[in-house]
Amino acid sequence: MWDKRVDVLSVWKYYTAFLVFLGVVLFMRNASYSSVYWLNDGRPFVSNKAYFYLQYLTCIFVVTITAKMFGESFRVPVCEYLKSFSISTRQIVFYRYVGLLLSLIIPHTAATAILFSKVNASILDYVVIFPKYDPFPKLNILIPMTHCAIALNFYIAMTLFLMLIFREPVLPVVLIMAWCALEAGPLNRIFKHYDMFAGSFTPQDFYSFLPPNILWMLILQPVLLGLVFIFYGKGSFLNAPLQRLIIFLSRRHD
Amino acid sequence: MLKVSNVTYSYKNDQPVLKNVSFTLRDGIAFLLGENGSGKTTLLKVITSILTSEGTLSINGIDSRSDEYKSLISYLPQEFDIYPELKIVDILRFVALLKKVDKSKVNLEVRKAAKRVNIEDILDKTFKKCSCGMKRRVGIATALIGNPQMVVMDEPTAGIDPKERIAFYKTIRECFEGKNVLISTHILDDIEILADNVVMLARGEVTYCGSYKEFRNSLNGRLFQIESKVGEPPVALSGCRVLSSEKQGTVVKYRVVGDAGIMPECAVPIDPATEDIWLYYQGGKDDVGQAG
Repeated sequence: MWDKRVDVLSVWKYYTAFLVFLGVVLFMRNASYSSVYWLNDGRPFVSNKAYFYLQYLTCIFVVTITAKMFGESFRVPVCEYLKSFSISTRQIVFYRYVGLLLSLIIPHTAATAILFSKVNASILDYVVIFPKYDPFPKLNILIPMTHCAIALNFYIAMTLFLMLIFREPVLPVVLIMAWCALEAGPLNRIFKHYDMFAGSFTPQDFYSFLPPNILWMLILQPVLLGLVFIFYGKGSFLNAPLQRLIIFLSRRHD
Repeated sequence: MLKVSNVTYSYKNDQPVLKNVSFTLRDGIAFLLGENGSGKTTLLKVITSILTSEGTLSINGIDSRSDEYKSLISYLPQEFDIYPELKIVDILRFVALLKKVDKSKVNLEVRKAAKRVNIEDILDKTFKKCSCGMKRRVGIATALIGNPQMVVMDEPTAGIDPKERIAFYKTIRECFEGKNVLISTHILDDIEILADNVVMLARGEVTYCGSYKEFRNSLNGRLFQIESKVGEPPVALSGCRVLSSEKQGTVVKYRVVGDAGIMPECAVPIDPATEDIWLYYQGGKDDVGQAG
């Protein structure tokens, strides 16, 4: 049986910081302030900073918490040590993943719902100031809640997958942080609607449940999680193809 | 009693690391010896079910494929540093739950194990702040939890000073009295302090398995030293094995194993050191059958 206490002790500081962050975001006027516009094709368009806080900055917390919670289990010596006990991959990875997902998604979804109700209020205020946009449709709060839930699960899946490859937590966190830094720069302009953090630096379609970036995250996350659940604790993933390649090349050289 | 039968293991696309390994270990402290790369760690991982191999293993008749097997065995890896940021008590609790100790008895088991290795006073200390010797004690405490029948340790004294090593082995002797303990090492001094039994691995094969006493006496009366001048024709040694040679100025000293009857007159009987026995079971320097 996995001792949940160990997970709690490993992440409680970061998790508390995450909750404080969500609380602070809810009080930030900047996070919900929205401007609206009608696109040339007649579609409504809302611009705000909500996803910068709810996806971009949240990603940093989620990745850190995931790495802190699972980092030890993915280190090769610890992974081997765990295999010497009668404990299954389901218990080491799957149940803990579900627990982590729920403990992150519940407060985050609540924060998203509250923030987007403020966004709707901000839209009304904007329309009062600029009546030429009136009437402007309110946002369906379920849509950003869905976007954020899918994105949050993807951040967890991506961290677990990178830890599966690197067999340790530091490098995946560094890689993801480097990616986040690039996102604030050129990447969002290159990938546009397909960008992982579309909506954080570029406009997002708040009227569609599955905009392009959310769609590819939704498709990719079961693949990443599947690979993690199948290959956790096995030496065959990536190591083996690499070894085969080295052996093949050395034989050719001989 | 640990019984290993016809165990063969190979990593992907490689030559077998373990070749048809078979031996039986009775209760007591046994050392698994072998050079680096001889397959010691692989064998320990097979015994602890970390790796799945061909062949069969059992502890007191319970097969390694049964669920009960893992509860009979405790594994102490070479560097025990799981969750270094946690307190020792939390690490011990974690291991107790992994070993499926009843939740109501976890605290009792943890206290009991801590008392036996004398770490009761530092249970609230963070693991990473412990000294090397303390960390080893914590490792032993984890191995004690759940009252295992067999304890497997992978080079537990690597990198610690002689004083701590002696203290470590004293604790092992006290804590695991009457249990089956298998310790891998290539530190020869360790064997002399503690070994009841010895298993020697060379190139993935068992070259010796038996009591330490027999192991220690296995070259008695059969080890000789032969001196030869550099450049002289070799001394014919049919039926003998040269274990090692040492050049001292113009003289080369050979340590040779063979029956006294077939030794040349110049051969002087000597007392075997543990290194000689090690070399003998590892295959020696060569078996050309000549010195010089």
